[in-house]
Amino acid sequence: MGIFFIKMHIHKLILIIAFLFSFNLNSFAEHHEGNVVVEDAIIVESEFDLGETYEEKDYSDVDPIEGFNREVWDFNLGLDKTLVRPITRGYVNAVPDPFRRGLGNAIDNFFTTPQYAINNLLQGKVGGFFTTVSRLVINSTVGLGGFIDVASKMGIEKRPETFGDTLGVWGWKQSNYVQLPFKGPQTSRDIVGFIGDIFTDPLIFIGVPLWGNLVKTAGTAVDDRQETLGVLEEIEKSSLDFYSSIRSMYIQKRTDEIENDKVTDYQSYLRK
Amino acid sequence: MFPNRIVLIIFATFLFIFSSKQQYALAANDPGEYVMKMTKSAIDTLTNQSISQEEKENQFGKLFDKNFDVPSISRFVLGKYWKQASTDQKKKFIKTFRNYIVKTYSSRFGEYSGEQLELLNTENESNPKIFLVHTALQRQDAPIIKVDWRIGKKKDRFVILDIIIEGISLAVTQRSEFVSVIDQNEGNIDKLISLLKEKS
Repeated sequence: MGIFFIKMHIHKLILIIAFLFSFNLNSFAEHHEGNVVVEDAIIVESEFDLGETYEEKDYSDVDPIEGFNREVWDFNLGLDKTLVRPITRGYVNAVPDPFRRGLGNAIDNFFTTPQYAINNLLQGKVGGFFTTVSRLVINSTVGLGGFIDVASKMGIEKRPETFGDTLGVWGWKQSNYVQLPFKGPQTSRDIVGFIGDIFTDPLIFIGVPLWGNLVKTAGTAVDDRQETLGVLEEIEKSSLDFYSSIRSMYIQKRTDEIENDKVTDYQSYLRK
Repeated sequence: MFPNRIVLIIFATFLFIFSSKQQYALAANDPGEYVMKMTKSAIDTLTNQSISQEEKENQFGKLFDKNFDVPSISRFVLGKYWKQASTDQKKKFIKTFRNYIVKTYSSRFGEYSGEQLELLNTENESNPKIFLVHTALQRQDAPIIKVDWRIGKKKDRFVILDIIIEGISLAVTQRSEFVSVIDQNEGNIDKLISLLKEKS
């Protein structure tokens, strides 16, 4: 006990010494800050060619209407700054996290599971279909109408597939980039897919009038936006060209979502 | 008094051995082990509450220089313009790009709240010196985030070439952005360098 106590003190002392030492280093380094020495040799030293791994592609070749898209992007960004962002921030501040998450889960459970189930089936992912159906059953009952994502806690993970994904799996690989007013980044494949998704929208099935759909759209917009609150602003702040950063990220992400199945990949890695 | 001193010496020796071991430990045997060790020390640095943001950037910068292959990444992110750039421009670009990355990424870690990185597996690439390490970031009550690391094997150590988060490659994203900026400025590479300087 006594030794332990001494150790604690020494530990503190060493911390203080370490702190002082780092302070010294700090002032030393500050002196040299912004003074990274780049020798000619360093350029020759670049021994890995990432160009071998990634195809030479900046994403302007899938953006034939870039001028128009940039205008829509500016409009969307304005809308986000004046309306969507403040509303989302107000919502995040006013409503406690567990409740927001619950609402998000319920929205997902109700509006997207039919879509996920059918598109898993259309892509021949029978496992994904049954997973989605059992998620719907478990979360709607034990999960109190989808409010609590019990299925995920049981290890039954979400398997999101839209009709846009299905079209990609069916062979529509190359798709152009489009900025839709109010909706944001899209690919032409997803816009066509969106029409397909109308048929799996439960609101249309049960005949809810248009205003109901508008409320749903606004609600999901805020629910989606809270996930990127802060992150998107950070990217905007550090970007030289926000538009092309987002374009690149969006296309890479969509390609990855269509080519790779995160959940099955993850599980197969774990088994190795 | 005497025992105190012995304890101090033993403790100091122990600390010395431990800390020097830590440094050598970064020279890992396989790419997966390397990624796990490197991220651990990066997270320790960036989430250390007892040091200022400036000091964090400083320490992160050192870690960055040791672990990122900045020349290879720089060559890649300039895309078609790398060949056109003069040696002087290349040097200036490498330096500014490095400072920009350190500045932006050390502040992005402010959000970190104890997520665990889990090593999945390592794949070989067609180039025998390049590996792809798959990891997953575990979050509470939220789906995993997949993070892949493209790792190069140098003579004596491993280096990071790219980080791919949920299918989004940081190198590819930077390249799209930088090439687009130079395109818009009629192929003027100096313009990109000065814009980068403003941001860092």
